[in-house]
Amino acid sequence: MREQRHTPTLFILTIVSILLVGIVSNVNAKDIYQEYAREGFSQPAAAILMQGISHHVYPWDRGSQKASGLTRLAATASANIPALYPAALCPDSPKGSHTEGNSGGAPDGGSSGMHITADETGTGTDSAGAPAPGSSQDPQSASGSGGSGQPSPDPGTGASDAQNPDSLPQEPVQYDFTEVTQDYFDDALVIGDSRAVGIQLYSGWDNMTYYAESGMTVYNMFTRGITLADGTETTIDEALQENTFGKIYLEIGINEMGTGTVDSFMEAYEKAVQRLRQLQPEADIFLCGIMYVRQSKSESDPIFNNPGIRERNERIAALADRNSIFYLDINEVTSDETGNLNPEYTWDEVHLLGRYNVLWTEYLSKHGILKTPKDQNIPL
Amino acid sequence: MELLDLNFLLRFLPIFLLVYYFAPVKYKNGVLFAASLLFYFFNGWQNTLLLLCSLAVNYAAILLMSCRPRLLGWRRGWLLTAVLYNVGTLCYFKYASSALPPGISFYTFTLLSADIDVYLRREKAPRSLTEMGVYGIMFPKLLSGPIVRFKDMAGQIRRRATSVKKTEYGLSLIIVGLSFKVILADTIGILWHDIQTIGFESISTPLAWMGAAAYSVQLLFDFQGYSLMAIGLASMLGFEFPKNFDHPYRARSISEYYRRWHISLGQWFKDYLYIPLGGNRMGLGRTCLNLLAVWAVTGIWHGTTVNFLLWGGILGLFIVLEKCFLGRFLERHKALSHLYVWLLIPLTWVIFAVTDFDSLRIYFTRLFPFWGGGIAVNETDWITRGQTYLPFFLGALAVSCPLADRLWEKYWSRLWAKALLCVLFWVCIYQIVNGMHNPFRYFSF
Repeated sequence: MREQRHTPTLFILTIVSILLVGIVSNVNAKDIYQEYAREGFSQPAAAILMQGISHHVYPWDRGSQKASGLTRLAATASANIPALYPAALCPDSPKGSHTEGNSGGAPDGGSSGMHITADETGTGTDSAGAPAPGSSQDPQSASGSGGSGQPSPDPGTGASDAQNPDSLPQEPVQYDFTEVTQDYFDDALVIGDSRAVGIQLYSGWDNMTYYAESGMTVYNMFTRGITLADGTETTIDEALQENTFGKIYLEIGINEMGTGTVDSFMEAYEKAVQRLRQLQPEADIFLCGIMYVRQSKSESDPIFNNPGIRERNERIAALADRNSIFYLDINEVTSDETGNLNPEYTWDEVHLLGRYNVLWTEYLSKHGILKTPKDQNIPL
Repeated sequence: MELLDLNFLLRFLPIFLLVYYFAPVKYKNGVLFAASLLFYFFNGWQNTLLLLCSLAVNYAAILLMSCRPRLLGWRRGWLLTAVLYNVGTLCYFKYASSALPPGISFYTFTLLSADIDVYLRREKAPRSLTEMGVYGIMFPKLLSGPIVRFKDMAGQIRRRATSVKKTEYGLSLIIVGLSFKVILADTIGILWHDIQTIGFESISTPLAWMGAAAYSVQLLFDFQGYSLMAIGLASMLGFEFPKNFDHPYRARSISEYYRRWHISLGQWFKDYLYIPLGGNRMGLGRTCLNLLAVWAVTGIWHGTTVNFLLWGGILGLFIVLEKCFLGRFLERHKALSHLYVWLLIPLTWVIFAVTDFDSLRIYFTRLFPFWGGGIAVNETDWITRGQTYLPFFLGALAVSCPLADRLWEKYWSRLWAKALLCVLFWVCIYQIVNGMHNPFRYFSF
């Protein structure tokens, strides 16, 4: 080989680029990248820049947009969700007129103007108690298997309320969970992250529809691309405009723990639920609490730990109205006596082993909601 | 601190190189020794104390051996002491301690090599603790080798020269090694990670085979990547380390595979165990026994669980079979011999990877599903994963083919190649950051 004169080009290129990246990162660390500058001096500033870039926050965005990375991340996500929501769906909003929000299975016998309210304690016991007249005697819809636990308001409360209808706040019926068979899920949709993908691939149930992709978050769920069972590429927003579902299960929330606060997460979560409601006004929406991680992870991970998950689950549970939005907590069956994900069920401390995804289908089967036509119009 | 650490790549290394290049020749070893201690210090001061202790004990033994070089019994006594110390600490930390100090398997073997080479009078003792330190613990090879032999290094430690070419070549090797590790090994490793997340009982047979392939490729590019980085770093400092990997999957027998895989360890065992045991000079029976002994020890060196012994034993067995008759057969059948290596080696890596026997049994029933088995198996699981990982498998194949070698030799020093390497460097940094900061990079379940 011909003798070649060597110049330290690569060395100079590398050193200069390291210096440049260092300068750019440091300059932006207190500005557009401040959300990422958590580790102080323990990591080179370049790490901040690289994290920013992975969230599509580039140094040249500086000035053109002052918002920090995360705020913008959330902003991009919510920008895609129209701002028109039924006010009733906001849990904080006053009981509210349901006139435009009657979509969610609110009783449509609006002419009578009478709605049943069941208080918390009343409904908690009514699966064991006497069912409301007329409701459970009806033949079950095809999928019902359990005879009890119908969506029956507590008779006592109902009766007393009925006595002075004028004073009644116009609140919808609250339903209780009941056991159902697999065909109940024929019109069900599961939306979610890698854990939902686990249900899709390993639960053995293929009658449900799945819009699940690993890494899905409430920030990106409507906009990121998903691949449908037939191979077509679409987004959840588009798919939900073209298809109708009776039940929607939202299994999401673990990936989001690394970014933002509980409040920013809940803001995006609520908007996501509202968008689902808007796209599928007839569907029952089941919000699945985030499944815990294994104890060893929970105790060693500053971000992905069970106290953090519990905090978020409590807030998610508060969104449920038990009329058309329900809260499900898989942790009832997947956690052990210590309140962590059962170590037998997982290898990576976060996901269920394939064979244990059947826990999901068993759990969901015990938590169906049956609304017979009569329930929509309970005579009082 | 380790070679993939951002603090190493973006802070420690550039500053060290500046100091090292500007230091006068007679201080270069001192700078390197001090930097190596600092490098190791970030892995815990207790570990650093142990490292210094090992260095001191071995250096003392070497000095004692060389002060009365003609007394064989004296030398033998001190060699025995040093060997007992080294093997004792290694065994203690492998079997009795909860955590293995980083790099202990590597630096212990490196130090043993110095003891034995001085004992055999192949090489003079290092002239100072600094020289001993540079040999034993220089940071490029401290944590994961290559396990250099003292007789190959002694001359370079006393006298070596840096050059622009060595610096450039070294840096390009570092970047290639980094890419092997970060882009190929880590990505393909996700497939193996996924398979464990799913659970062996729930994978389809094609996925089980893909998993064996994935683990094999991951291991090769992980280890080869580290080795290239070490060799590149050493080259930047003026050293010449021997090759540690020489395209093992081009081998046509298991024995040849292990002459190409982790070459420095193979050489070490050959020089310091196989040959002292008598090598192949004492008849076929004894040769086979020696081979089995070497492979049992190789298995033990790699890990503490029984599966490593099984792994070493099976390899030893096949190597003995090749020595007896299989080798001649493979010699005559080119295609068959490649198939033999490509099928058998991934299976042995599965034994290496799965430390628990029950899981191992399940994995093999998925590889060979003749006895049924399998719970909640998704039979199409390999299709989507095949689509995801095929480009990376092909990439691994492409950089391993002879054409890649020729292109590299011809073009690595061109300006455009260097610009490309610089870009690759930053791609790797990006990957490291977003892998490290995002614990859910593995979230592709």
